[in-house]
Amino acid sequence: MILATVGTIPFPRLVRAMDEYAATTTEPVVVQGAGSAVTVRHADCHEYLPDLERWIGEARIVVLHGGVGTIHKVLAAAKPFVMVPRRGHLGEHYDDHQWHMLEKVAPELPGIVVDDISELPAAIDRCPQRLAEVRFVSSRRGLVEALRCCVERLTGFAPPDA
Amino acid sequence: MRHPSVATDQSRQKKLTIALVAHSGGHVAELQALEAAWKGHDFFYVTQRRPWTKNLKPAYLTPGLSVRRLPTLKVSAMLVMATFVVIWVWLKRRPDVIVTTGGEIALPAFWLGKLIRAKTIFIESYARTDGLSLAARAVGPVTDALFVQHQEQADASAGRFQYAGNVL
Repeated sequence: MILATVGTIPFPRLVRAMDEYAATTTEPVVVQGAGSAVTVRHADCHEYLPDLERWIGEARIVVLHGGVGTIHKVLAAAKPFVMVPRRGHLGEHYDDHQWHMLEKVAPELPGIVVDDISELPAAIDRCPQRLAEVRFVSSRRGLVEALRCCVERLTGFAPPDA
Repeated sequence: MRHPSVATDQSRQKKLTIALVAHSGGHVAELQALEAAWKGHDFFYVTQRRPWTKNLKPAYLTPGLSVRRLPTLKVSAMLVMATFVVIWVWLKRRPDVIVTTGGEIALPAFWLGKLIRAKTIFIESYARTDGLSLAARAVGPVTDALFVQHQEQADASAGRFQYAGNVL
């Protein structure tokens, strides 16, 4: 199953492209469209998926917008993925921050970034290979530990076991 | 006869009360990804009620509006409603620490948080790769610690922002 998720606001360009892709494959395509005003004929479309982590866990490939929360979930599940950043000039977000962020960090990510939507099918085919090639090293643990120390330093709190 | 004095300083507290405040969507998703940092403490979320946050627990949800193109009026209305919820929650729970990843809800959370003498931590969104967000600048005077998620931002800040890793 291929899962496409657009986060919390509509993204018609991606939903339309995924519906067109669904017409070309026998593999089930599930789309979470967040109220994108697009008639979906070939994919299985949901407005929101309350248990997104479970859907990601069941997917073979995940296609997503450039949202940090979703990228985190896909990395945690170690699934091949394609990111389509929302563009400000197309009215998909208030500015191009997703595109700027991905332009900066994409070389380190084990997923493929697609800006020209016509390149989406090729990227879906290629992304399992990209996941195998790029070893992603998370720095989340460092931030978590720094935050824990910061909370203790600011409040003078001493953990019970210390 | 006098009773032995009761220790009230925070170093003797068993756990802290931590409020995690963020705009619904990407901001709150980043906070959730960092949940391991508050383990052992009493923490809760404060965000807007939306279809994808209604199962968030423990949480205080403020009335959410569908803001598609961020018109100023809707943002202002949400901010007013969020302020009332924040006042109520701050008085009821008295958080020791308030943490945010941003969104306009950070403004009442931090400014009113200082009135109850809470400590405040702003974590700039990973999606923000250049300057600081509007929210981070608006609460700058009442922010005790500011974390950025890209090394270059910390390097350019002359020691004002900390970098220790990112949410991914």
